[in-house]
Amino acid sequence: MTGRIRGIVLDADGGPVPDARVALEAGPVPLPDVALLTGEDGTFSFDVPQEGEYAVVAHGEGTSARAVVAVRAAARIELVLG
Amino acid sequence: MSHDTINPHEPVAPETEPADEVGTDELSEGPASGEGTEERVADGLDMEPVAAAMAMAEAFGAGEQAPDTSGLRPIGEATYGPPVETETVQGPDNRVHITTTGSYPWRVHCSLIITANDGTRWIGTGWFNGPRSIITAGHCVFIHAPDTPRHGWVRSIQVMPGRNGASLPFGSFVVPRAQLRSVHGWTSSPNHEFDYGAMLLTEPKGDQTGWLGFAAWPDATLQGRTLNLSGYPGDKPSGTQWYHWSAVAALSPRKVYYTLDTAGGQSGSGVYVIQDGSRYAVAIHAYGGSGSNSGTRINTPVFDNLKLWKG
Repeated sequence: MTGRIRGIVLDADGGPVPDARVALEAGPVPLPDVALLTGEDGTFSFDVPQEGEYAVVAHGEGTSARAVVAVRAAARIELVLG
Repeated sequence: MSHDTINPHEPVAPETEPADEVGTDELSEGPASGEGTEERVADGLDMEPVAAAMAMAEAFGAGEQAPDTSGLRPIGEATYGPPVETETVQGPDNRVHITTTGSYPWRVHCSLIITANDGTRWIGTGWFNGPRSIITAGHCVFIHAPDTPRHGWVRSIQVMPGRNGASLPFGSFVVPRAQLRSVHGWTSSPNHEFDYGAMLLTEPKGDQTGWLGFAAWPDATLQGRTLNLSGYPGDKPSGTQWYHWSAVAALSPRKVYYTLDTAGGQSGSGVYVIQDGSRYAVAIHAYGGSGSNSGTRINTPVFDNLKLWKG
């Protein structure tokens, strides 16, 4: 693995969202079709196989958020649901 | 004096070429429908009845239709340009929500909550291939994250067969690390071509749910077939099962490529063909997100391992 994406999923009020489903939706290479559940503090981290642009998507119940991030060694993002 | 630890008389054989892993014979292991209701497939149909009903409605019209906007770009791109291309859901999303998960075949598909070595939790999908075995993706049982606490065999997997949101018609059970299986080709390096694994059960829970058959078929048999997939995508309401179907996009000796709509959480889903009313998995879904989606093909050695794990 050559990079890591760290982030947090927040609700519309800025509070952390536990058990949001976060996945790498697109990237420079095919990606495993798993999704990570955020922790109690809303955080998550993914290892990525190579540098490049990745689309990260988070789903809550009835809401979702998406971000595109350029990864070299590491990147950090916030995803706000709602 | 050197001490050679390798027995010079140990037999060896040439390595198998990938193309040799796809034989000319059709290997099949049959399905079983388990106990209770079954949704049978009419003769000649190669997709699930729910799909056939949709296709019929589209062919004959279903009243006023909303305009097809699938080819239109989001307005934000007019200002900000196109996003990173997302191709996991291929074209219009016409996945079908399955609510009759207490019936065969839907109950063979399992919602998985995977606890990794570092305590993080992930979602995936598995499917019964026998009374005591559930097949999934290799990366659902062994995670590659070198030099991190996440790397290696996962701690455990919570399995919920036929889950329908909050409803668990067959309950929930936990498979510990000791009962997980994969292959050296996956555990030694993250090689897509060997991305498959299994959970072995101490009790025959598949006797209730039934199981999918599985098959290693040559290209000539697979080309032109309709592929079916049902699993637990994370972009839909939590724990709901969704089904889709598509044609084969491409084949290689160790991979099957298709335009089936999938999303994170469906890794491990069985990709299956319906033949003479029976359902046979021909691949294990594993990858999306770049070009067409793909799964590990059930070729001869994969078939042999699935049969070994089935017991």
